[in-house]
Amino acid sequence: MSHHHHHHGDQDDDLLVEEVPRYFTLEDYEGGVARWCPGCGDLAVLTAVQKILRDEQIPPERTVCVSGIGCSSRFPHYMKTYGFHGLHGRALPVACGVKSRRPDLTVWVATGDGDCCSIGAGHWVHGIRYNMDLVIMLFDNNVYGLTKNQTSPTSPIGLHTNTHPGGAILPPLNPIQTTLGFTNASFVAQTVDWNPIHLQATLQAAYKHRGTGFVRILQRCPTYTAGVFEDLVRDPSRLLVLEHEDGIPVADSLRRIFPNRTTHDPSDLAAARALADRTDYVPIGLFFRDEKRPCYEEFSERGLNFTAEERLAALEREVDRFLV
Amino acid sequence: MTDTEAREMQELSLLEFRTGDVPEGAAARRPPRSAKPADARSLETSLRRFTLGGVAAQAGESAERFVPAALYPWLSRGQVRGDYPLFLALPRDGREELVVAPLATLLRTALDRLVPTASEERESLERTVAQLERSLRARLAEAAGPVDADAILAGAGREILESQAIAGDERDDLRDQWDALLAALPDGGFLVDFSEDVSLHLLVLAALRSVGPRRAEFVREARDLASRVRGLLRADEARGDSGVPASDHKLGGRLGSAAAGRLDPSRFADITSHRHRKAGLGDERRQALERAAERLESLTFEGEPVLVLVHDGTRGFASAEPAGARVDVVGENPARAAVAAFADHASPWLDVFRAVRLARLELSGRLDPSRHVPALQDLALDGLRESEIAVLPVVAAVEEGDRLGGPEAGSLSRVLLSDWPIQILAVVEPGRVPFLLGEEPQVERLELAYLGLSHRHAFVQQSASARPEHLMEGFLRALDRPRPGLHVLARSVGAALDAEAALESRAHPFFRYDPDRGTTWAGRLDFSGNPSPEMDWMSRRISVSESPEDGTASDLLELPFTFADYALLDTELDAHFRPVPDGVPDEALIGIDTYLGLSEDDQLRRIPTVWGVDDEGCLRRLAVTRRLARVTARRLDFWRTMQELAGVKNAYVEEAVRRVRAEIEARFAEERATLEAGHAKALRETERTAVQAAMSRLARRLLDLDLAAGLEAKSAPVASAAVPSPPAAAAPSESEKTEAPAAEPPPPAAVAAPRPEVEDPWIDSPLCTTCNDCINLNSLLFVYDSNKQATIGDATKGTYAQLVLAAEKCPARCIHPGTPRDPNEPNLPELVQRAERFR
Repeated sequence: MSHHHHHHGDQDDDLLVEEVPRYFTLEDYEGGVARWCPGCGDLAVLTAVQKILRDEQIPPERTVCVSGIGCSSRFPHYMKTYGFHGLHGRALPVACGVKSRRPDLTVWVATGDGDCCSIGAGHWVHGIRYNMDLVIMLFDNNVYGLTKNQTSPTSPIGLHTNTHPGGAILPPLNPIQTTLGFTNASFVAQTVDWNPIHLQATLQAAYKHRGTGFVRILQRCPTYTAGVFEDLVRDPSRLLVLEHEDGIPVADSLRRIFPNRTTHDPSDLAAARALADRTDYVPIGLFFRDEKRPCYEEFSERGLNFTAEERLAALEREVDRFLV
Repeated sequence: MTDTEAREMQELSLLEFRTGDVPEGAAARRPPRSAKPADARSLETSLRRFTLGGVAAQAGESAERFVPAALYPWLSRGQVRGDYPLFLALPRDGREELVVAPLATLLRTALDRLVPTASEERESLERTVAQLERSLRARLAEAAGPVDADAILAGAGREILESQAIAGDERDDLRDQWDALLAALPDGGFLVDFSEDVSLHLLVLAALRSVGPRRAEFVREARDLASRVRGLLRADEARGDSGVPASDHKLGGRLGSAAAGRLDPSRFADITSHRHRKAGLGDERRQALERAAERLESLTFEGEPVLVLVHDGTRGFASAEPAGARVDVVGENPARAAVAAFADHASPWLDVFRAVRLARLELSGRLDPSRHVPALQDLALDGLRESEIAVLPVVAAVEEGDRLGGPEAGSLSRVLLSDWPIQILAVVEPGRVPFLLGEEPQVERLELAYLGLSHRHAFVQQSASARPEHLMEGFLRALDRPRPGLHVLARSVGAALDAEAALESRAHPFFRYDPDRGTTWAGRLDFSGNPSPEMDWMSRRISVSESPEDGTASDLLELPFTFADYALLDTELDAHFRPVPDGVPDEALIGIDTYLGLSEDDQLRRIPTVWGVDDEGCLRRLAVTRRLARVTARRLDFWRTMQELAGVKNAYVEEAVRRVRAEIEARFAEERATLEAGHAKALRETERTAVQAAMSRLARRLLDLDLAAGLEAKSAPVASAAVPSPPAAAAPSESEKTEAPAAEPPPPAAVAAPRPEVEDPWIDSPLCTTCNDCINLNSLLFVYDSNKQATIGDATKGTYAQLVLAAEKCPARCIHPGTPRDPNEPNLPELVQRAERFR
């Protein structure tokens, strides 16, 4: 009898599980141990996303991380959420597919400069144009790291790689300028992995944005491109912080670190393009935002709330169109 | 309106009791003053004996009946407008809320909307309304239960219209107007007259209003769960029975005969990952889910009662509510029987709750059949959740307050301490204090509602059918969540006026205690509904005429309405009153409200009195017994306790206000004194300097007179020298005294050389990028904080070399090694040098 009673209590607790309120800590979002190199900027982005999820208390089971192929595309493995480690360059089609039929889920896309700007460039154009409510994190380390050091579309001229031992010869693609040129872009921002405060604030703003939040993250690769961001890390005055009441909030502690700041209204697309072209400084912050741009969900969500009968009726109607 | 019509209207209309306006034409008369009788002294002695000696000695002496003077105008007219007839209607299409309102209020609102301005038409309608009220009283009294409102109103209205002597055309117009008026009332309602059963009608309505929507929502959710479970079962079926994915067979089909023999599709599928997914549901689980889906699909609450009424068999009453909304259970001890009744009515629903839980667990992917299925089988009433209890019928027990406070107190406590939604309706007689009735002379009244409060987590209200809107709000709040409740309701001796009087006299103050409203008394206790809540007693004004011949009012008398006045309504308490004979000096008498404020010594010197009116309409002062005075004092004491708990009056606040005021006054007095002193000093100073200035001017004038102008410059020092300001050194001032020690050399300790200290290592955590470098170096020295950013863990668990190395490796440059803790660590000079750039 007492034995029975003992178990009864346990089972009751279990039955109650669904009605017990939950609070998520960082651990609830931490997947496997990250196998990135020590000092890799991806680690900072991983923590930033986990902190945002924790702060917003988004249940892990309502979150999906989608990636393509590359170092940074290992991201979903390190999150204890749903994840989809896709094909090279195909993070966005998968993410848009998820979002089409499960608009209730929070979707984070991890993609690299090779994955997004080279093989996946076509999806990049249309992913931005679809403007679905998700976050694109472009981990830009200027190199193919996973495949051991090949020139990527954003590699600076002269970067010695296995594909260009004599140094990269073409001028690098500017992902911010490119994205600002895509039709229906609604949120374009840039940040750096080595400042966790600005990084988190930028990703947070992208998450809150209704539509696709595109964030290019300048990301250090200690193994192959240790030098490319060295100057920026050592000399914060090389960065130009974009400030605006509608932009990325700039904490007082950031103002002390970054002496060079400028006011930029993120609704001004022409000014955003001019900023993206600047070579004297590297601007970080929000370049452009327009909440009113159409999102593809507005179409793809239709019919989701249909009952079985309504679905059947709709199907019949479609079939009827082909009757002669 | 002519005077005759106005008088007629006045006679026709029911009196408003609650507003307290002095009604016209119902003045009490002052009795004629007779000459002071010779035996005035002995009369006074006898009266004092009556007051002090109590009931027993004097019983039966007084045959006269009196009514409380404060209520006389209303009692004498008989027809008082309370909240009855009461209009009740359930929510229905186009109307979300219940309607519980006095018919008079509804009619008046409709009349105002229909004919907003004074006109002949309005007068006719008003007269018809007034006649209707009277006619309805008679009809409802006959019906002795709820009556369909539409039918009775139409019938009574037509009768009245036809009886009125007006021309045909006019009558048609009036009838149209009347129809419009009735059409403005909520449809589908019914009317009840004041009776003890009204509280039960209200409770049924409250249960329908509370439980009905919760059940509808529950059914909706159950249907949804069932359809989703069906979807799951269909998907499982499509997957195949043996747990082998259907795609295996498809694979074979696709490959066709060409592959036959060369490739075994099953084994090929075996090496692909999709083959390794979960097996099918299995027969047992499928069957359980199918049973659950069936149970939920067939779920309905139709015909299920929302209220189970447990009573002793004397409370069977005609119900106007939808058939089957209520079932009666007759039991000898209703509070005890209610627990069993709840179990009886709840148990049949257990399998529905099991089905819902099973479906939810399965659909959320959390079902573990080996543990959950037996646990669900064991589900009993004590394992129910609030959301489940919320759809069960409300169980209400009706019981006498005396029994709940006496032999059935244990049953009451058990119910109030439970989690079960059992409502106890306790009927009390607020005036019947055993101590007064002489039955048990030592027994005071028990505060049943106060006893309810001591259970802390039950809903408690004290209310009465006389205020149906107050009572209804209490019921709705009580049923808002499934939990036990105690409803202490005043039994009215007769008319609604008695119940009103019980409320006004503080014999039965209203309050509600809702444990779900915050943690403070202020949040939980609702004191609304009590007249003059901030006063000890409420008072009423009546008109008094001087002589029997003169019927018109000449004077207004303001009378407090105390518990002793209320007791005058109860014939069983007659022995506690005795008219004060002529000749007893006024100084010996004192109104009971003032009497209660006297010290015990002073109380002995005076005779407490109330004002009554006799059968002939004469105002009479009545002495009351000390026993009744004591009970009145107890009533006041309880009233004040409730005032304090409700925050109307709070001794702590009053004390705090007093203290703060005293403090402020003391400070002001002090400041004033300082200012005055300063002012006096300044005045003296001014006087002195003025004298000096005058003297110096005089001196200069004298010098100017005698000497050349060039000497004037020298005159000033002369003048200032004349100012007798004391030299600083002559008398050291207060400040100089205190400054003096500062001039001394500081104590030796303060000048000692600073002891070399270890500068602790630190990390500018907000800048950490979580790269793991330092953690990998030493996971005790470096740890992550709750934000997963590095911070120093245990500084003693690592070397200075590790700190310096970590600082050098840190890509965020946020590690600061400080200075070495251990002076004996090797290579220190080099490490300190390397650490220099991280300081």
